[in-house]
Amino acid sequence: MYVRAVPPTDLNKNTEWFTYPGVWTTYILILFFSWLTVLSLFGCSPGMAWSIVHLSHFLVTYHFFHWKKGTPFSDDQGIYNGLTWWEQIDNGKQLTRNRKFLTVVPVVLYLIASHTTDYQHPMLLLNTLAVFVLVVAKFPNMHKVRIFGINGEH
Amino acid sequence: MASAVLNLLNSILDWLTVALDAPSARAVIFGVPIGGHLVVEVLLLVVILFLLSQKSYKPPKRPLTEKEIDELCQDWVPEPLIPSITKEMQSEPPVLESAAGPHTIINGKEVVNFASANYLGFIGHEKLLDSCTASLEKYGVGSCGPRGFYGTIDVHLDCEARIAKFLGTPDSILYSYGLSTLFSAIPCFCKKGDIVIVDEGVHWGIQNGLYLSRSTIVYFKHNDMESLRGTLEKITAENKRAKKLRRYIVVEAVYQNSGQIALLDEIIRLKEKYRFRVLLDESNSIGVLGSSGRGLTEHYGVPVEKVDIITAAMGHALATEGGFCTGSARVVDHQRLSSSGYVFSASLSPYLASGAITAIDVLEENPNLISKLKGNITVLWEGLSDVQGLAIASNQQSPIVFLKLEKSTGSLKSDMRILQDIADRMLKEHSVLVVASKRSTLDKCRLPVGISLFVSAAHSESDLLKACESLKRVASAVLGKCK
Repeated sequence: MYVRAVPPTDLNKNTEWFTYPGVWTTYILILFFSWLTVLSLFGCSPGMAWSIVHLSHFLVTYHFFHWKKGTPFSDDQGIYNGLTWWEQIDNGKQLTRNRKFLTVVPVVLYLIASHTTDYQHPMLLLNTLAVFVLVVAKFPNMHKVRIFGINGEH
Repeated sequence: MASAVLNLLNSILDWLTVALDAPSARAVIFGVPIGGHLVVEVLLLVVILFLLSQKSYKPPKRPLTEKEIDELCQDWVPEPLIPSITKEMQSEPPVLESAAGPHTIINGKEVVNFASANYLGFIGHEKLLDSCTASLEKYGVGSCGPRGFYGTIDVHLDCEARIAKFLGTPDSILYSYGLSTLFSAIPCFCKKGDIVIVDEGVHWGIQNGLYLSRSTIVYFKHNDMESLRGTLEKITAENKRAKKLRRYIVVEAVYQNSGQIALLDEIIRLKEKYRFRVLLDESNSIGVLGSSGRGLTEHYGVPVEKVDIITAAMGHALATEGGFCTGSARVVDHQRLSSSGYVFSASLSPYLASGAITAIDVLEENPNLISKLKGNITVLWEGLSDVQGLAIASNQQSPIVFLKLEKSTGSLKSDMRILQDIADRMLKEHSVLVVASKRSTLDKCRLPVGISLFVSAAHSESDLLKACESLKRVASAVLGKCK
């Protein structure tokens, strides 16, 4: 007989922080405040500001969640070297609450951005492209898949 | 081409707006007319709700199909439990039946030993034996605990202080085994992503340390300062990020694989110019080079502070076992908590530490040992300078006299066979024990193989002359026959 203990939630230091309480709130607040910042700095229309926030959110999250592989920590013996941050969170479990949250955020951002720009030409196209790439990259069936070998090499 | 694509996109967008706008009412929400947008928005909301309603799961590991299993089974060729015996495997290495001093007994016959790195002749030295015995009687063989966990004994601290005092550094740190000094000290400083520039001829201990460190390793040509300069230049010019990384040059003082001596003054000049740190392995130079045996820094008159990290095994000239690392106080302190060999391995046996202290004491009291060793090296070097078919590849002052084949057969294996043949015949016919290079499959060193003779201060002149004479005869017999 042996003790049946609950396995630790996340041993990967790189993704562990996303299991902390308050991360979602912080995430949303950061987006909201960056909208305010963009609005006050550039003096553009609210719709334009939402588009800028949405597109920069796309660039940042695409790079850090879906492009960069491995972890900055050396004590995991390189087991995550071939995995992006998105593939590492929740130990690779699909459709978890965190994953759903991270998928909904760009879609909602897209909705706000397109709605406030009145579905007008250049912004609509860019926003659609951005949300399409982000959502496709987050599909459960895309787990560990590198379509067309994009970002395939180690 | 680009304009055609743009036109296409525009027409699609126009069509979309028309299609979306056509049936809808002119609703207005938050001051923005909704139009056909409602369709898109409702669609996206449905998608979100659908996503949220999904259950989470762990991606299953797809089981192999019956066909795949069959294929795998068919492809599998079992490796034999025992590899087929080759001729090299059948040769039995000579077994020593007494201590590995300058003379030793093999198969009941006394032979002259040139196979042990007993540079100062300390193996079997009375004072060392006495101090080891006294320490053994006082402390036993050690606590089997790591240094930080009941493993530290006063002689360890004394030994560290003695080494530091001898070399003129602020502090030093002891390791339990000579080879593992490098396995621990290198990964302790070089981490993933760091750049390490290494001589291609370094011995396997350094190679393994570098492998374990997971740093980016760049090799330069063996003991070639022009190549080192070029490599440093290339690395610093090409890699803009190099300035933000830790950068190291790793060299051996006396290369075990070739007997060459590193050109420390030039290396120091380069490291200061390109701002690298230097890690120097002094395993074969402590007690040998320099007027009082303080190693390569004394040999070149370079202040010891200029070399950032010095490591050495104590199993060679000091005739005990273990290793040490020395450098600035920060270099040493860093290792006490982050060097795996120091933190997790059982500490050095106390009697080995006291043996090392005594060895340094004896060395300092008898500076003539070093001049004797230097004399012996010169005698052997000159005696071997005209051996038929073999050329000396080592430095004139190196205690390892290294002879490589003048004409390589082209393959490492057959070279090794010839050299092993020479070594075997030296032992059998002339009672002189020498070793031919052995390369493990793990060893990445690509330098030519050869025969190495480890000179000792305890060798008498007649031993040296005998070695020269017999090597000449065997070489002409073996290599002359080949032609």
